[in-house]
Amino acid sequence: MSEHERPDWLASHLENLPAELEPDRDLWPGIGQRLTRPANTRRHTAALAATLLISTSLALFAWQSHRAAQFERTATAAMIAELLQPYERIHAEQASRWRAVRASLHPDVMDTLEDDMHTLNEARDTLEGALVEAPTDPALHALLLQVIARERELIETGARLGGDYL
Amino acid sequence: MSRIVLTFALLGFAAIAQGAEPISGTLTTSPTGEVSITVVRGSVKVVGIDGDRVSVEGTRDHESEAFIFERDGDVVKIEDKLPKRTASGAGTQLTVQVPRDSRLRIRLVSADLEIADVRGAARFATVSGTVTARGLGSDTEASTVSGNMSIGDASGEVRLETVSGKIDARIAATRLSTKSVSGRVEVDNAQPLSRGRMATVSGHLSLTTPLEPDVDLEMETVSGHGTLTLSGPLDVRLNIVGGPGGDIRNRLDDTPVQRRSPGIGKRLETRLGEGRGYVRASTVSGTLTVAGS
Repeated sequence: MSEHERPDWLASHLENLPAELEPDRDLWPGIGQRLTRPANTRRHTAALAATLLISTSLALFAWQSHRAAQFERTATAAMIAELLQPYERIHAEQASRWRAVRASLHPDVMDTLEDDMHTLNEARDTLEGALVEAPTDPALHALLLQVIARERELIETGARLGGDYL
Repeated sequence: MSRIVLTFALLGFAAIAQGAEPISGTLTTSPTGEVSITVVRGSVKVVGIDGDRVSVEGTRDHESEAFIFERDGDVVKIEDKLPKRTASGAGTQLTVQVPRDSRLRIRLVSADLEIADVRGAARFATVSGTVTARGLGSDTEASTVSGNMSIGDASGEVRLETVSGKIDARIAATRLSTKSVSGRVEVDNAQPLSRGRMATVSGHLSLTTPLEPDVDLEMETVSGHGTLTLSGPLDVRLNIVGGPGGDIRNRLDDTPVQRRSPGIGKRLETRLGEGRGYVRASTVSGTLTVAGS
């Protein structure tokens, strides 16, 4: 139906209608909220996923690093223990011999030798501590062998003096 | 084999009550024979003289059970025998004259020893007595436990050992060996040294010496300090190592002391001349000083 074909009553009604009609309330905030909500949710989900991914990666990396460090520590400790084993064995043998020798010594001689045995024990502890830091340092090994040699000489001196001192 | 025995038997309580019993005797022996002396306490003086006789003068320990003065082949034996348990006393006082080229084998416990002008090989040891020896020959071996020792004029090979006593040697050795536990050892050597080894646990070591070109010299300490003063022309490589807590001081040339790594120690390596000889020194926690004179 064209404008010319409208009946007069309809045309007069249409002309009486207002050009604009204000809504009784502002509808836009609700519409805007509805329009923006899907986009925010997507962003949050992506951020959450990224956070989870990063956290998991970091945790995995930290765990692997910890495991590697732990493995390295264990391996180093095992290597050091293996490295020091011959020294420890000799020391145990010499300590046992020293206990037997010192029982036969005059108290004055025993005190002197005991002080120096203490010095040797301290030196050995110091060197073994340093070997943990530098297990392949040949000078430290040479010094440790030197300490063991002095320890052996000290025991031999004690054994020699055992029956002599008045 | 001729055998001359002169034994002073124990005379009983009467002799003890009278105090120390005099000793006097002489034996003929080989001019290069051995003289063996064993005394527990007191003092012994040994003097080298021309001739082929060994003479003994002095007094026995008041607790002496037997005094032995005998010759067996080319060995003259002198011994004052004491019981295992003794009370305090002045001990045996002996002056022994021996042929100048005699070999000495002396073993004392708490007796002082003085030796003069005996050129044969000398082996002497004391536990707590002091030792003074002058005019020795080319082969000397001496040891003490807590007594101090002063050695002069020994040449050739010299071996000295102490536990806690101090050793002071002014010698002309070509080969030197010293061992100490906590005793201080100071050696002033006049002859170029070809072989040397000094070791201690906590004692301080000091060696002043010229060196043979092909010298092999070693000084080791655990916590004691060591000083090497090298005189004359030097043709050596030096390798000095300090452990954790150890220190090295180079007063010989401008080579810097290197820190191997933190807490591990230091090292000094240098070469003087063509480096034909080798000097090495090491300490765990002491200070090693190398210097020239």
